[in-house]
Amino acid sequence: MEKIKLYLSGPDRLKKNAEELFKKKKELCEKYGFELLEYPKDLYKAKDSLENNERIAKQRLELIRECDVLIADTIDFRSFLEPYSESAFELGIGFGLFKKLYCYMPDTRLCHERYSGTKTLKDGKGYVDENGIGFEPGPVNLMLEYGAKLVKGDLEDALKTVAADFGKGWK
Amino acid sequence: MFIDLEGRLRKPLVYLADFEMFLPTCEETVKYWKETCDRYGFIGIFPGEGEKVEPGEDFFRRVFEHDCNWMYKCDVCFAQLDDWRGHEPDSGTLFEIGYFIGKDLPSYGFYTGGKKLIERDIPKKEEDGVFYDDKGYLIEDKGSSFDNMLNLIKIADSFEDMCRMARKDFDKLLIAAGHEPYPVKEG
Repeated sequence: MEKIKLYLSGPDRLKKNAEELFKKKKELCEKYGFELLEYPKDLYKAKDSLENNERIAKQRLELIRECDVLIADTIDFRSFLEPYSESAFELGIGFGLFKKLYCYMPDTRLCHERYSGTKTLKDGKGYVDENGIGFEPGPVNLMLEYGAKLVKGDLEDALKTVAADFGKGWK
Repeated sequence: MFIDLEGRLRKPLVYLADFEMFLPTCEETVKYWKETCDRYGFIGIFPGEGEKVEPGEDFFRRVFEHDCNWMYKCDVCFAQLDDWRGHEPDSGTLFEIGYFIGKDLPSYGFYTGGKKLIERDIPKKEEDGVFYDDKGYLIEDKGSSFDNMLNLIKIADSFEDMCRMARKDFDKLLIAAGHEPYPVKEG
């Protein structure tokens, strides 16, 4: 039987040991019987031309088309309460392509609960921050919360969930 | 005007993916966006418009479905890609424009920051000519204002520039099919 193909999205590809991390993730995916699709090698370069950058993005789009399941790391990234831009964007692409979508993060409390600044309840309806800006109602943006299945924990927790859902016959 | 998938000549419906709904200036901004869309021959759709989502059970899921229904109906996406709560665009906006990319539908964004990713005011440190943020994540230096995948979006410097960019693309197709380009109205 052909293995289920996974595409991983998240900021780990920007870590100094990104390629080594990816190998470990690939092994972890195999442990659960999944095949992890590999990014183009050029993606790991720190510097590149815009032309190559665009070409690699197109290659990654093809990988998303090829995958059965997309798993995104939605941990806060260079912001508060917002994940890595590629994670959200790639989840959206997967949504348009009818892929099975999962995201994971270690802390899945609601946005206003995760917010470390000052927050106040407005009109008894929802919380706002010190600038009067409202929070998303869930742990992540509404589109991600309902467009994908959110798992509390790490990649392995997400893989366990995928394996369990698969076992229940989604494919 | 554009030629839709069924060959009809009509104004495209444009999904306005944005974070304005969180801001007090929302009404004013969306009014400007919709007027600008109209000048360039587009019908701008703000996700919050249409039938009101009534409070009650499963309210937020129904809001999600309401917004998705607009996404399914629209032909094009225009996305606001300015920073939101930090150094990244709004994740909901990115999810929405991602949907249009997945569907291979025309997708445009605007970013008013005017800086490449490497030039942005992200706290960073240099190691052998390569920059990392304060959490040790690489800041890509690849000629773009955003990380790799967002290069799939055509990005302009302002909302109007984005409309102009999209109009130019649609006009090329109109002309190729023997039609006149759309007469853009002065602002």
